[in-house]
Amino acid sequence: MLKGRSMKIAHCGRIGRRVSLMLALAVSLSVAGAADAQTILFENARIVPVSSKDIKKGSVLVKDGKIVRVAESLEAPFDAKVIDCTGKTLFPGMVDPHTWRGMDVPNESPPVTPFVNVYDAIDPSQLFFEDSLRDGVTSIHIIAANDCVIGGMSRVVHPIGMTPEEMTTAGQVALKLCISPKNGFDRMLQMATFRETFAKLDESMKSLAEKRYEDKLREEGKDLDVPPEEEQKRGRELIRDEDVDEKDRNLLWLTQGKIRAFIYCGKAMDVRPAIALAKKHGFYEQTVLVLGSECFKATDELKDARRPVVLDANLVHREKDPITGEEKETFVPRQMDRAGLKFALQRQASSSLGDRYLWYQAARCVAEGVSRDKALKSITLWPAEMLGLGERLGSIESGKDANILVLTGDPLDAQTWVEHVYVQGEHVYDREEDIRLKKLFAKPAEEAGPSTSESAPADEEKAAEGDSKPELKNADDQPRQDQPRRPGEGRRGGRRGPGGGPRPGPRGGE
Amino acid sequence: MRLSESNNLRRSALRRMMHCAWVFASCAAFADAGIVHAAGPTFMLKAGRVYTMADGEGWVIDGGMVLVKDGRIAEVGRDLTIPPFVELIDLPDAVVMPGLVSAESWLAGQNQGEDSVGAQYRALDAYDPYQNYDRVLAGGVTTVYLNPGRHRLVSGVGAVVKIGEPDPSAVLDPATDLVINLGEPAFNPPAKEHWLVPPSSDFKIRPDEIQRPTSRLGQFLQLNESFNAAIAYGEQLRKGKHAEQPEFDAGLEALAERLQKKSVLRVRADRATDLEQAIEFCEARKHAFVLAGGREISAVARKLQDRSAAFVLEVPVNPANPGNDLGVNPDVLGDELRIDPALENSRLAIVGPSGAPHGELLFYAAVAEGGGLSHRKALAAVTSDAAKILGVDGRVGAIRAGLDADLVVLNGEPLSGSTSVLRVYIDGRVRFDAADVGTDSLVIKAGRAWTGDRWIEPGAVLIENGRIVAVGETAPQPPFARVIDAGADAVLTPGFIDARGHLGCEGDRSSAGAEASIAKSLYMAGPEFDRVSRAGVTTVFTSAYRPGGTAARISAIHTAGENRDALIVKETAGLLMSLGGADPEAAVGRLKSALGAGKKYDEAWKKYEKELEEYKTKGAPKVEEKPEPEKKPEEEQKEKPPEDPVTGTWEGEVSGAPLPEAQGFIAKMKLTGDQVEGSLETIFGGGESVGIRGTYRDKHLSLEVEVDIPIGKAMIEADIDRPDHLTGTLDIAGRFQFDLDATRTEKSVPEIKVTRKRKQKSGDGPEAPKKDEAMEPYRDLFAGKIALMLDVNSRLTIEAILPVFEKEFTVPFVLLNAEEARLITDKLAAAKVGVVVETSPAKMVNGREYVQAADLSRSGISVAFQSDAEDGARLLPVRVAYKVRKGMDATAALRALTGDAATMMQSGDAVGYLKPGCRGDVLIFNGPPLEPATRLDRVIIDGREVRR
Repeated sequence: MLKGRSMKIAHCGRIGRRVSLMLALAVSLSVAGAADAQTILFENARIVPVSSKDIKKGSVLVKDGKIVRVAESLEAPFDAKVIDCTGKTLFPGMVDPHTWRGMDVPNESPPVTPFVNVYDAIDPSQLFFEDSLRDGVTSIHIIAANDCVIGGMSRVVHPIGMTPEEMTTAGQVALKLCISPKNGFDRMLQMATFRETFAKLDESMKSLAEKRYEDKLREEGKDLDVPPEEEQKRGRELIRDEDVDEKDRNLLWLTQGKIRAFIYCGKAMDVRPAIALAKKHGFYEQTVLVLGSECFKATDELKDARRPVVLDANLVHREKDPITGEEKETFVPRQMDRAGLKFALQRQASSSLGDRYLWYQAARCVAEGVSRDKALKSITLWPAEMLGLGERLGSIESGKDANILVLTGDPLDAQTWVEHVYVQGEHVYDREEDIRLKKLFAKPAEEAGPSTSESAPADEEKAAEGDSKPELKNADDQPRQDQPRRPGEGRRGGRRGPGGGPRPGPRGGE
Repeated sequence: MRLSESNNLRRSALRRMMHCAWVFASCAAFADAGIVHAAGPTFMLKAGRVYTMADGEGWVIDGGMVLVKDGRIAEVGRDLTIPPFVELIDLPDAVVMPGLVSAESWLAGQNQGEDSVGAQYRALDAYDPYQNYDRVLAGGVTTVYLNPGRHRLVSGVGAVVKIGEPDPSAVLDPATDLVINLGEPAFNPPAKEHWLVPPSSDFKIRPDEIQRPTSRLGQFLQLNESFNAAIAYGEQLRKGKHAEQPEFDAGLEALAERLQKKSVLRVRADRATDLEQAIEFCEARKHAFVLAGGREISAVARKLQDRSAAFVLEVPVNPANPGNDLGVNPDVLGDELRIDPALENSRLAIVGPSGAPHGELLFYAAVAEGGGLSHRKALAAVTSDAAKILGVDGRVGAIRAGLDADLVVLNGEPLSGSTSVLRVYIDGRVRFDAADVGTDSLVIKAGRAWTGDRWIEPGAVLIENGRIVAVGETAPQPPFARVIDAGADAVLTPGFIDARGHLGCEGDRSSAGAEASIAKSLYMAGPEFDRVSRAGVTTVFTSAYRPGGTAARISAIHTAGENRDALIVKETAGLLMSLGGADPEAAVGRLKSALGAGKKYDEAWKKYEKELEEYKTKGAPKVEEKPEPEKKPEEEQKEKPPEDPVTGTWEGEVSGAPLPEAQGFIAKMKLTGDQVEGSLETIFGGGESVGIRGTYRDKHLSLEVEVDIPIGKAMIEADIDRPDHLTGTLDIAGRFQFDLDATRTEKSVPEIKVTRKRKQKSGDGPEAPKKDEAMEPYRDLFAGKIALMLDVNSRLTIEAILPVFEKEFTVPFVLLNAEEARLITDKLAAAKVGVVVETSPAKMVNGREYVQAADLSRSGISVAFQSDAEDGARLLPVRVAYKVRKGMDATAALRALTGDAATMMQSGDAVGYLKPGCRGDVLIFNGPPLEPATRLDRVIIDGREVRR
């Protein structure tokens, strides 16, 4: 989708009056060589394809935005741009399976809004997308947050593009359903609302079916020949998409299994109702459960259900005994792993550093006893499969989208940098050209330049996003150039400046 | 605290093997059938009393047994036969009753919907089975009703669940009743909003809908309207085409379903007028109903006498609330609860008031009993009757064959104030155990108790963590305490004391000095200990059979305990000195010299301790530093002795297995005759040099390295294999050997510097005297912590030694045997000397039967008994009983076995008494102790039962 466009900037400003500035920057930022390379050969790279064994030294051929071949050595085609990746590691772009970020609001006010679409709320200028790119997340499933009963239609985007359209990897992916109650609701009201919503859908489908059947009889010049139940049954098959009210369409698709359901369960008690709901209304096979950390208590139910799960970014559950006061910690991914479930990790905007990075969470999983293979899959292939995009995303193998990260080392190593990001074969990020990183690493003297006035508002925006990092609060605390940092960490350095101190941000529906 | 369980499973190896085979076979059978069967456990429960809560006879069975099979109750009764392979859990002090059923709860919160009539809300949706309900379970509550809320006219559908069980089978009824609330709480519901989504011309903007009731006028108007509308809605649904059916309405749809199913109506109101109207309403609509409310339930019950009705009564007492004033309004009702006799004949459940803790159901039932309800009815109101009202009596609420094994084990009568729950079973599985809460309390009650120096009637003892905490006519009963109520006839005494025995010697009859303690070699209680402890002798002052040297050390040990720490009461509890065979003068001489040496040792330590204390508070005493006289090595070197093969400086290496790499060293040695002296550097760290000392004979060096190693000595054994070169080994404590190799680099007489490490770690503080294990007991003796036990017989010797203790050595002492004490009873009584009487029960003196213990105690001398044996101590109580038969006062004998023996041995703060601080050693007799006809029922040592 990106191919053939001259879109090649990293977003770094805000909408409105700063757009012109952004465009100016875009020109200066233009990434070398990206525009005309249709065929790329990555050579001499260590490849972590995720779907198969690591290749110590190998090549990846990319053509027209797709991966064509992965092998130990490949002959470069005549038109290929050859990139020598000696000492580098190739890793598939990571997939974030569940986030509301990137939208201007996480949820609508009414509890049941299956008819809205996140397309209308995505703000391509948000720094979140730039962060994602720097952190190596190339596919983001943007979906309504958890403050609803039924949220709107979701979308999978890549963090590059000027409009939601350009950013789209896949539209019409899933609806959000929340078993944990929306603000001001309790579970009685929440579940009653579900029952009412699906009953109403059924009612309107019955009416529509009767109408369609009678229309058909009228066309054929026949009289009504069957009892109402039979009439409704026959009429159902005659319903066309365009007959369905816009209000009902997404929900109908859900019950027909045409789209997916991401069901949020904040507590263990929500798991059983979630599974029952999905089974009753016919979208069980399309269901992904988004779990709060306490849900590991329902491991037995989850095991029986065998549905994939998205885990809370705070991977540990803590609980106090009410009588003895003892605190117990449970590492949730390990529990899911033991239960044999496919799980995906997600990013959350929280003050805890680890919650923000998929690679860090995967590394913690390995530390707690999950196999490296599964930990890597939980941030790439498995979330891709959960989104129905397992054929396109999540690994480096032929036929897949060329979403490739060039890393300086192992993906789970804290010292590793994302050097280059390719999205659908297009070079969209180069660490060398990352102005925020540059600013972070700039010597203090250069910083007191005229650009401060411009950077301050941008800082505020970041602060409002909830990025706070204690170790860089102090302006004297200069990061050293020789000390490698993760891109996200470094990025915060750009916030330093007059009045740009970190502030706690809104948590949205999370 | 563990419930003591006697596991009567016959433990023969063959049976166990058969059991395993059977289990394996059944597992295999299930596996074959492809069934994963989560059957509950099987066991037999036996308790002091079982409240079955059955209708009619047999609602309480003393000594009842309950057979639980696969998590269900299979059989209930007295004297059931235990099926093979079934574990017996015997709880003779406990009371067992069915898991409590709470006919009300707010665990589901209240629905947040705005409908005044909201039949679509289900309490079950909001109930979290994964939460920790230990606080509720700890009250014995296993089944709860979930209320959808009290804030709406029709707040929804209630449910009944077993608490804290995620399994779907724990939902006993997902839709028990439709909840109707009358009165103020349900007035003025919010206006109903209508979301306009998506906003379009198809959807008309409707104003918010005002809902009823806003007062009493509206509540039945609204109920009738809603019920009629729902009935009409339900009838229309069943006929005709869909398009002609009424517009979908979630509330009406749910209400129609409830009405169609003739659901029970649960009507809650505070006022009798509301309740009376509700009765009319429900009867007119032909619905079964349950009336819930506070005090005014009574008034309604009186009117309903002739009709069968069910009530849920909220007692007006909330134990969790601080007190509140009711003001001067005479109309306000107080907290008093008067229960109308009419309620005796109706089905009644008792619950707490709104917001009160769910776990205190037994407390609410007890309050109801206080309000006039009969005991049985009050118990039924939280078990069987509550289950019937909720319609779940086919599963829970009683102990009856076929019902779920939901059982509560209590430490006393259910409605007694201080009773608490020890264990809760749900479906035969332990879901709460007081032992897990970390309390270790035992309360023992009896008709009479001997505290060690007096009688109390009745007697009660509280033991916590193995120590006695409280003694008196009553004792506090902490939550979750285990309670032994021994009955009015029973008598409690402290554990008996053998004032001189040899338990722990394991048959070794050799002598041992004061440095050896039996307590030190103790590691576990063997079978001989069991025999002694089961006889009621809980403490033995044990020592070697014969003192070696001047004295033997006496240790006070327990006769039962899980480990060494529990077995030792006092590692040093006395010193035993034998003066039996000596003439008076020699005896005094020996005594004085021993005590004199002891005093000297004690004083040396006292001085050191004083200095140390001063040093700690004031710092080191200032000592003028004397400048070291400067050495003049040159002069020394002038007198150069003739060269020899050893003297000089040696440089070499130590290497070998445990060392990662060879380590260099420098040794400086000087030979005088065949003696070698010198220093060694670097091997033992820090570049410090340590002294070496040894011999040189036949080209062989044998040197001891003067270094402190806890495991032994360091030795160098080396040969001078050729001039100026030696090779050999460095041996550390016989465990590590290193190769050693060195060459002489200089032959001059070296200046030997040795940095000796002081043993004292406190730097430059005062130096401690040398510790002598044999003398250590004297420090305790002079501190008055232990007693000196003198084995003497002759009257002259006794008379001779008494003055020694008057002035010179004022230490506690007792006499052992003291055969001729009878001749000087007045002197001994005046000197307040205790006597550990001889072993013989009675002997002939002057042609009459003489019982020494009886005679001495009559003369005002405190006595104690000895076994002079190991497990022979088990006969002590019997022998003392015989002495009572032969004329000793029973109380005096008891005193001699308990308090006096302990006091005499300066251990009255640890054993011998029932008093706070003492070890929790208690004997329970079924009658007066030391009567031959009395049985020793139970023995408790450190709060743990060792005999039953």
